[in-house]
Amino acid sequence: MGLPTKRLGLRDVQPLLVDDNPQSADLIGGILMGFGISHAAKCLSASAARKLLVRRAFDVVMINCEMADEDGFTLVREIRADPKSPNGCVPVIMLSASTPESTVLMARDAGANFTIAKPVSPLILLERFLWIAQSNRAFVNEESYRGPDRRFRTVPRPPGEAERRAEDLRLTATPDRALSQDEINGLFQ
Amino acid sequence: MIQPPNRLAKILDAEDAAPIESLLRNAEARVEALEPVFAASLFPQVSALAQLCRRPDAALQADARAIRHATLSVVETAAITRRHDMVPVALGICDLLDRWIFAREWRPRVVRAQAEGLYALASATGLSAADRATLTADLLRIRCEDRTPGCRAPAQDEARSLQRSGSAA
Repeated sequence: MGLPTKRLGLRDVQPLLVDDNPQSADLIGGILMGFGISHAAKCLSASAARKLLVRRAFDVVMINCEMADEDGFTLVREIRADPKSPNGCVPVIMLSASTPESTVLMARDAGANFTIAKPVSPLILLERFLWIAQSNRAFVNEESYRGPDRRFRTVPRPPGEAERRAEDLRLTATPDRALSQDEINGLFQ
Repeated sequence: MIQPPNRLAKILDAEDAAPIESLLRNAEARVEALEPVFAASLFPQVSALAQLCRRPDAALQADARAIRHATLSVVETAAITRRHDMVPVALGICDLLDRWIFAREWRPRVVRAQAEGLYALASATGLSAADRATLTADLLRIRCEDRTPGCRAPAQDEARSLQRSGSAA
C-alpha cells in the first residue's frame, strides 16, 4: 500500500509500545516522536504493559513477539479476551526481528492486526497506521477467535440469505450418471 | 461480529495535520541520529553472544531461548547499522536454536561456527566488503551442508530457501 499525498495529524495519538529491547524501544520511540506523537507509552515487559492496559485506553498497541520473559502472543490474546475492556478491540501491531510465516500466522491467530519486521522503518510504520486509520475491519468476537476480521475482502451475503455454510457449496442436483462425450457434443449442436 | 470505533481514524482529519513527507523526514532524521549508538553497541552484543556460545553443550541447550533472544537483538542492530552481511548469519543462529527448542535437533558445532563467524564479521574491520560477503556465503553453506549424525538430511528446498534468505538479506 503506497502513501497518498496528503496530510496526517498524529500529535494526539496515544500508542503503547511493549518491547524488552531498550534499543528497539528507543528507535520506535524516536520514530513516533518524528511523527509528532508526544504521548507514547513504553513498557519494557509484558507484565508492565498489563498494568498499564487496565488503566488507560490506547489508540494503537505495538508488541514485540519475542520477549525474554514472556512472548508477545500471550499478551495479545489477553488484550483480546474481553472486547468490552478499554483496549479489547485496540489495533495491535506485532514486531519481530525474525518473521517466518509461522510467526505471522501465530500473530494473526492471536488477534493482531499486522506483523511488521524489525528494525521498524518510519515508512512501514506510517503505512500501517494509515491502513488501520482508513480501514473499517469488523471485530470477530467468538470463543475460538477474538480479533479483527482476518478476511481483507468481505463479500456481503446475497439478499434474503441468513448465512452460508460449506454444505451450500455442494451441488443441489447431482446427475444420476455422467454424460457420455456424444451426449455432451449433442448439447452444443 | 462487532464494529468497534476506529480510534486511529482521527489522524485523517486532525486540525494540526502535517504533510506525510515531512513526518517521514522528521522520523528518519531521528533514526539517523540513533545510528551511532546502535553501531557502537553491535560489537559488544556480538562479543557477548560468542561468549555464550563458547560454553559447554549443556549450558547452550539450557540457555537456548536466552541466546536466541540475544541473537535477535544482533539481527536488529546489524540491520539498523546496515551490516547486511551479518543479518543472515545471525538469523541462521536463530534458526539453529529454533531447531533445538522446537525439534530437539542439536548441531553444536554449527552453532559455534556461526557464532565465531559472526564475531569475525563484527570484529574484522580490515575485511573488504567482498571478503565479508565470501565469509557470509561460506557460513551459510556450512549451515546448509553440515549435519550432525542422526539428524535428518537437509531438504533441497530448505537449502534453497536458506540461500535465498541469505542473498535477499
